[in-house]
Parts: sequence; structure tokens; C-alpha cells
Amino acid sequence: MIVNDLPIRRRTSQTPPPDNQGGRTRLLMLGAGMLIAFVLLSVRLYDLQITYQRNFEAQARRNSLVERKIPAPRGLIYDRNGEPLVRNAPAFQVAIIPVRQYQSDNLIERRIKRMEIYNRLAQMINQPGVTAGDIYTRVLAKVQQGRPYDRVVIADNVPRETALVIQEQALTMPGVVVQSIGSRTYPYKELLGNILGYIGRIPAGQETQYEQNGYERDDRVGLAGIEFVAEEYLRGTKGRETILVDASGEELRRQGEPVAPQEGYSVRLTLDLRLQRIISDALIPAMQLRNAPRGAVVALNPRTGEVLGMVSVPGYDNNLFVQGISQKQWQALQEDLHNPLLNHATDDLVPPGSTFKIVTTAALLEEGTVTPYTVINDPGIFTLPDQYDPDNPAKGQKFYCWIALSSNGQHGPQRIDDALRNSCDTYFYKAVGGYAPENIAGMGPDKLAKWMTIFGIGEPSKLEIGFGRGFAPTPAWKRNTFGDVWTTGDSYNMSIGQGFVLATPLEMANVMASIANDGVLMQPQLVREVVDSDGKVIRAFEPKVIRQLPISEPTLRLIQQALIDVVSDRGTARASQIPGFQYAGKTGTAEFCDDVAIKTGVCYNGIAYLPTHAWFVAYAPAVNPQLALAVYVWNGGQGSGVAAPIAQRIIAGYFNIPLEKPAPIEKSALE
Amino acid sequence: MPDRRLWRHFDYWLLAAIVLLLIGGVAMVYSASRGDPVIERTPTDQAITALAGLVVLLIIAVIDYTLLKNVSWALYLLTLASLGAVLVIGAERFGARRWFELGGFDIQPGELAKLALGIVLAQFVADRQGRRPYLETVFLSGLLLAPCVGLIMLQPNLSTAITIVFMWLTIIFVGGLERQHAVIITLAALAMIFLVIELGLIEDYQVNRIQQLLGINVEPGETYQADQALVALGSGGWFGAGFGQGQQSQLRFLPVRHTDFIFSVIGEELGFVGAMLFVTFLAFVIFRALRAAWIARDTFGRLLCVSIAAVLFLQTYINLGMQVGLMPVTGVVLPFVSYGRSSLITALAAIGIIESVAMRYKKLDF
Repeated sequence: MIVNDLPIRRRTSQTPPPDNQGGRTRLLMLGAGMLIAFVLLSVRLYDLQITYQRNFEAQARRNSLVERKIPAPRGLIYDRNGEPLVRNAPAFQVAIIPVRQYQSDNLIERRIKRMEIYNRLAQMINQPGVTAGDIYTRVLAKVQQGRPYDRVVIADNVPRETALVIQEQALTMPGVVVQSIGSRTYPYKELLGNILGYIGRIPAGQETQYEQNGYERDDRVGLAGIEFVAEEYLRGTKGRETILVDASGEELRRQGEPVAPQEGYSVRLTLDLRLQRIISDALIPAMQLRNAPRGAVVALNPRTGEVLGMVSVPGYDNNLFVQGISQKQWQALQEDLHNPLLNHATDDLVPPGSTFKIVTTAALLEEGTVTPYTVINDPGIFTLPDQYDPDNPAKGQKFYCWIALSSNGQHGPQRIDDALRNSCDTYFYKAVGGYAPENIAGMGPDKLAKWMTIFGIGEPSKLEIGFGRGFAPTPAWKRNTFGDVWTTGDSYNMSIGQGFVLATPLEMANVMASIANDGVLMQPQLVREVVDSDGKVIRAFEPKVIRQLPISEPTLRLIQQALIDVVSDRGTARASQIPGFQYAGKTGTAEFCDDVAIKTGVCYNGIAYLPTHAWFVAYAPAVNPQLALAVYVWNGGQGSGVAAPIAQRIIAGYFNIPLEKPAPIEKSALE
Repeated sequence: MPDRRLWRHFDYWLLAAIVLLLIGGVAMVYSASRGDPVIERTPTDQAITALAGLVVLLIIAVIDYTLLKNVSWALYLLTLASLGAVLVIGAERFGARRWFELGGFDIQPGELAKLALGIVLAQFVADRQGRRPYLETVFLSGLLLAPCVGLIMLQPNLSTAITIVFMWLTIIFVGGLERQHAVIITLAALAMIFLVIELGLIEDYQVNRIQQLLGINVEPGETYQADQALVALGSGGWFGAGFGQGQQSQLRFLPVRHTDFIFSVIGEELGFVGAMLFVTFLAFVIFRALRAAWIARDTFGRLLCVSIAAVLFLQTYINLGMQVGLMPVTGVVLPFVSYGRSSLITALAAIGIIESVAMRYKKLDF
């Protein structure tokens, strides 16, 4: 080329570049430099596009493909007859998509505009914890997590009307969206609140734990009651879809085939909604009449242990928790000494009083302490001589049978079936604690404690909800706990279900059920089966036997007959008979003076007569029993006057027997 | 009508490369702007501009470049005046005054300055050929340049300033620099860079961008643009996702993808092979400009071609370097390919000058 050029240049009349040769050398250098630069660039390009392609491709995919879960409808909860007890209903949430918010290059203007929007939102939503500042903080947190395209939920359970208003104004509030999520309503409120529990947001501090189990942060989960314990069945399986999004977070289309969500399984309870209502209608008016603040009824199927009805008062409206409970409402629930959040049917530990004599009777007969023919005299009032100075009557302790207190009466000579029917305290005092003047040795407290456990009192509760377990005291326990000696008086108290003896209404109902079931103690259960959306049974919870009670046939028959006689003209519950219908029962009037009683002024130091819980346990009908029952009214007065009439109404209602003259509820002694 | 024989030396290879780049550019601008209503019109705009630019190219090619000597001083004054004026009445965008808005058409005096100063400096250095000492030429040409560069820095527009300084360095290098001069000028350049930084003539954001490139003081999210460009480019592989199929580009993760980051779209959709094709054509254009310098019949023509080659090279390199992560993020477009009306017209006009030089390399001897 250079050779070719030379002659041309010679022929030129123009001035050739004077240092042509040098200029060309430098041109070559310049070209070489540029060439090297381009080669370097190409190498770099190769590196990026070929060597590291996979990394960048993965990043591109992360950018634009968002995997989204499709929520699964939560399974429902039914009563034993298929009556739905909960409803799925959408709840409205207000959320903000940070990147879609008001934009401006002017940072101050942007901040002001956004705060204006936050203020408007806060005013419209009007919920505690949703101020402009709260919204700002939550949005900022999301942005700092590097996820400005994600929705930030700023308010939950926004009322439908408010949600619609916000939706309408969303155009003037960029970034604000209203979304609905699956939620629950509980049509039966307090009637089932304690049993069903509620769902809600994942509790603070447990997020990671839930996330490990496949939950997402904004999911609703069962937090109490059946909603909590059956969570794994109810929750269902979320579906999945992959969405292609663009840089602004706009969802363009679905990629591939979505995985459809699987509806949660439904749970069928053993509960009978009709019975539940009957119980509630019998219990609550009676309690109001007595001005009693607390009470519970448990109804079991004695053959299976299925809980047919369980009412706890005071209860709570579980909708409050789903819809967002206000601070005031929460505080009221917390401060109520009769804790509405507690299921009193399963968790109240109280003296069972005379209903406990069923256990004592079985123990006395089976331990051979007494025979059906052993007679013990009840003089109404008697003196237990002092242990160390038996000959000094002044040092002796006076004991009263209830009949002496109520009517100055006495039961006189009693056999054990009489004693159970009449609820004769003296018989059980002497037979358990012994009575030296009549040469009665007494069975002793340890054997009775053993029998409490046989009947399931004090054993860990295996019901799906509730943890309450009664208490069987022993001399060893007293020594270890109080450093004090167990006295004969302690044995006396224990024999009639007082003193240190504690039981839950559920436990007492199950004691009665085991008698009705001819000595087979069943495991109480609330969940009958789990079914899928087509009604196919996924899992059935079969009745479980806890144990065959070691009670002989004659003992069983004796107890059953005595309990039938309780609800007869000869028994303590004679007022609560149902004409033409025979059932068995046992009254109880349990003295108490616990913390709550003292705090509420029901009991105080030096009170003449201790307050009493009204108890009644029953099974019905007498032959081939289908229902076992425990009625307990805190500070309710007499078992026979208050609890038995409640049971009478429940039983009559359940078996569809019209009651022409229901037993009157005994009014408060103070009135 | 100029002599038909003049066209014998017209560089058809160069024109072919330019036309292919323009077609490729319009296609990629189309792909980058699809479905985005804001920039929907850009491919049509670009195509029309390209056609207009080709006409401009041919007209300038026909005109004898030596005529430019007559207007070079006027061009110089015009440049100075417009650079001054833009600081006062120019439109401010993104914190910089670089544009005149003329009825929807943006004019950047900085773009004009590159071309005009190339002509002025080429003539100045060419006219002083053979005068000794050469350093005097260097110094005086530097003096000519200084006010323009100063005004551009005030906009601020660092990349244009750097381009012009680079162009000047290239002109004085080819124009007769000797080895000992090189040492002195290198030292002077380093001293100047130091001064510029120390005196705070360089804006914070500029320092920031350089730091970002080096990975110093990087706050999360700050390098978003550059990162997205790398992701787009890097995911291309050998043959890319296919025209119109790049997710980064089509889903708008890539910022200013029809202008500054068009090469990332090319890389994502056409892969390494497609990207290299564009790089090769761009390099080819630059080397054809150097060829014109090589065969130029006089020093003015040679230095003119060198100045244009230098500007094209640096713009190409800054733009590509930014997208492959070798250079800081600046608003420099890719010549002939990126969308941009005034820059495209300017670039095609410059090619017209190259053609003008190439066509006249030989005195017609009949």
C-alpha cells in the first residue's frame, strides 16, 4: 500500500504532509492502540456472556419470575350432625406497594406527598396502630429489605365500607391497594367461642417457626381451640404459580402450569349443636337468677367418651379476635377475674363436693372397708376425739352432716347405698377417716387417692383442648408441701370431695360416664373425624378406652341404683325428677374459699357459712344411658336447688321430654 | 453536480458498514421500545433521522473538506458562543444544563463542539506543520481548547470534556508529537487530572460513579442501572434470547435501554455473536476513518479524520465499557446505534467528512 501510494503523492500538486512518514507511524500506533482496546473489550464481553452466563441468567430469572402462593380455602368445622359451626368470609386489608407510590425527583415534595397519603389512610382506617408514622415505618422496612415490589399490609380487618371507600379513592393515592384474604366468622360467638377458638396473624416471635412449616408472614393461622389443634388439617395446601413481572412489578402473565391449591380438610366435632343450645339455655338463665359469675356444663356420650356438649360461662366472642380486638376489649377480657378466655369446663380446678362420693363409695366397697350391709350411724353432729387426748371431750372436734346444718336433722343408721343416696357425710367421714369410739378403722386417704386416679381425676387431660387436671391429695404430699401431718379431719374432708380434693367438671362428668358405661372409663374426645371437601373421611378418631375400672358387678349395680334413687322421691334431687323418665344423678354442694372468692368478696375471714359451688352429675336414661353430665355453677349455692334443676332441663330437652313444671331454681340465700 | 469520477474513491465499504449499523440500530431500538408507550415512536424517529443523516452524509461528502478551513474560525466562535449560551438559557435536566430545546428538537452544543473543535484544531495544527518547537503548537492549541472545555465542565458534562481532550491529544499525537514531548504531556495531563479533582471541578456524582465502578463506597441499589445492564448482557450466551425475547429488556428491568444501554439489549437478545458483530462493524468504521487519515492528501484532511476517529472511538469505548463494567456510568450513547437524533445526525455528518477526505485523496490527473 505504501509502495502504491508513493507515485501518487509525487504527482500531487497539493502540499503533502511534511512529516508524512512520521505521521503514518503514529497513525499505525494509534490504530494498534485502538485495536488492542477493542480486543480487550471483546475478551471482557466473552467473559460476561459465555463464562458467567449462568450466573447472569439466574439473576435475570430472579428479577422477572415471581413465585406466588395461591391461598387454599380453610377447612370448615361441623358439629356431629354436619351443621357448620364456622364460616369462611373474606376480610379486607389495605396494603401499599412501595414502588408504586407517589414519585418525584424532588425528595422533599415526594416525602410530603406520601405523608399526606399516609395521613388520609390512617384517618379513614381509624384503627389503633395505624398512624401515618406506623405506615411510614412499615413501608420503609420493606424497602430496606430490598423488596419494594412486595405489598406491605398496613391494616387488617378493615370494615367492608371503609375498604370500598379506600378502593374508590385509590386513584388519588398511588401505591395503595385493597385486597381481600380468606378469614372466618363464627356465627355462634360465645356459645362455641371457647371450643372453636379463633384464627389470626402469626404471633410475634413465632414467624420463623411458622415459616419453616410452609407458612407466609401474612397468613392466618389457628391460635386457640379447635382452630389451633386442628390447624394441620384445616390449613390446606397452598397452590403455586409463577408470574412474569416487569420492572415496575406489574404482573404480566403466568408462566407454566399453576399448581392448584388444595382446600383444607374439614373437621367434624362430636359436639351436638342442638344440645349445646339446650345447655346454654338452661345454664345461663339459672346463673343469672343466682347472680353466679361462672359455670360450666359438660355432656358426654358415656359409651364413647364423645363430648356432646360443653358450655363455659363466661365465654367470649371469638369473632373479636379475627376482626381485630380493641385494646379496651382485650383489657376487659384480661381483667375479668372469671377469665372468659379459659374453658371452665376443662380448666376449672374446684372441690367437687358430694358428687365425689361416687368415687368414695366405689373405693370403700372395692377395698373391702365396708360391705353393702355395714351400718354406720349418723347422729347429725358428732365429736372426733383429740388424737392425743381422746378422753377429753372439750378438746374434740365437732363434725356436722349437712342435714344437721340445713334442718337440724340426722340420717341415723345408714348402709352405704343409703349414704350415697342421702349424701350422708358422716358415713363417709367415719368409713374413710375412721372413728375410734365406734371402732371404725377407716380406709385411709391413700387408697382414696388411688381410686381418684383410677377414675381419671388428676390424670393429664387427653381432650383436644384444655389442660386442666384435678388433684388427689395424700398424706405424703401434705407433709412434703406444708411440712404438716395429715389429720383425721383431712381424711373426713377428702371423703366428701372437700379439703384438698380438686377436680374439673370434665373429670366429674367422666366419672359419671364410667358408672353409666358399666365401669369402662372412656377417653373424652371432641374431634370425631376429618373429612375432605368431598366428604370422604380422611381420618376417623375412634373412641378410646382409658381403662376398665376394677369394680365388681355388685358394686357397680349398687352405685347405679343409689344414683337412680338420688333422683327419686327418696333422694336429694327429688325435685328434679322428670315424670316418666328415669335417670341417675348425684348432687354436690362444695364449700370453697379460693383467691378469686376472696378478691371478689364472696368469701372472707370469719364468714359464717362458706360459699358453695352447686354441682350435679347425672346420666340418662337410667337404663342404657346415652348422656352423662356434669353441671357446675361457681358460687351457685345448693347442688340440689340449682345444679340439679339445670340438669333436669338439659336432659328433658335433649330427650325431647316436655317439662310441665321444671324444678324451680333455688334463689340466692341472700335474697 | 460534482464530477462523476469523484465517486470512484468514495469509500463504499464504510458506507455499507454505516448502513448496516443503522439498520441494526433501528431494529434494536424497535425491540427495546416495544410495548412502552413513552418511547413507542423512537424506532420510526430513528429511521427517519438515519435517512436524513445519510443525505447529510452524502452532501458533506460531495463538498470539498478543504472548504471547511474557511469557516473554521467562525465555527470556533459559534462553539464558544453556544457553549456559553447554554449555561444561561439552556434547559436544565437531571441537574445539568446541556440542551437547547428548539421546538421539540434538542440541540446539544457539546455535540457540535466535538465536530467543530476537531475542524479548528486539525486546521490549527496542520497550518503550523514544520514550525519548531512543536510544543508551542501543542500549547497554543491547548489554549484554544481550554475555554471550551471549561464551559463544558460547567454544564457539567465530564464525558464530553474528556472526549474533546482525548481528541486533542490524538490530533497533537498524530500531528507530530515526538517521544520527549510525550513524557512532558503525560506529566502535564496527570497534573491536570490531579488539579481537577483537588479543585473540586469534578462533581460529587462523578466521583461517585467512578467509585461505583471500582466498588468503593457503594450503597445498595446505587449501581442498579449498571447491574441490570450486566445481567442483561451476561445472560445472552452465544446467540442470545432472540430478537424481542430478552426478559431484562422486554420487561423493562434495563434502564434507558433504547439509548445509553442499547448494547445490553443487543447482548441479551442476539448473544455474544450478535454483540461482536456490532462491535466489529463499529471498529471497522473507526479503522476506515483511520484509513482515510492514512491516505489523506494533506495534513488537514489527515488530522480531521484522526479527530473524528478519536471521537468515535472514545464514545464507542466509553459506551461499551460502561455496559461491560469497565467504565463508569455516563450518558454517552453508542454512535450509529443508540436512539438520539442530534447525536446520530452529528455522527453521520462526521462520516460525511471522512468520505470527503477519502474521495479526494488523489488529484485527478486528467
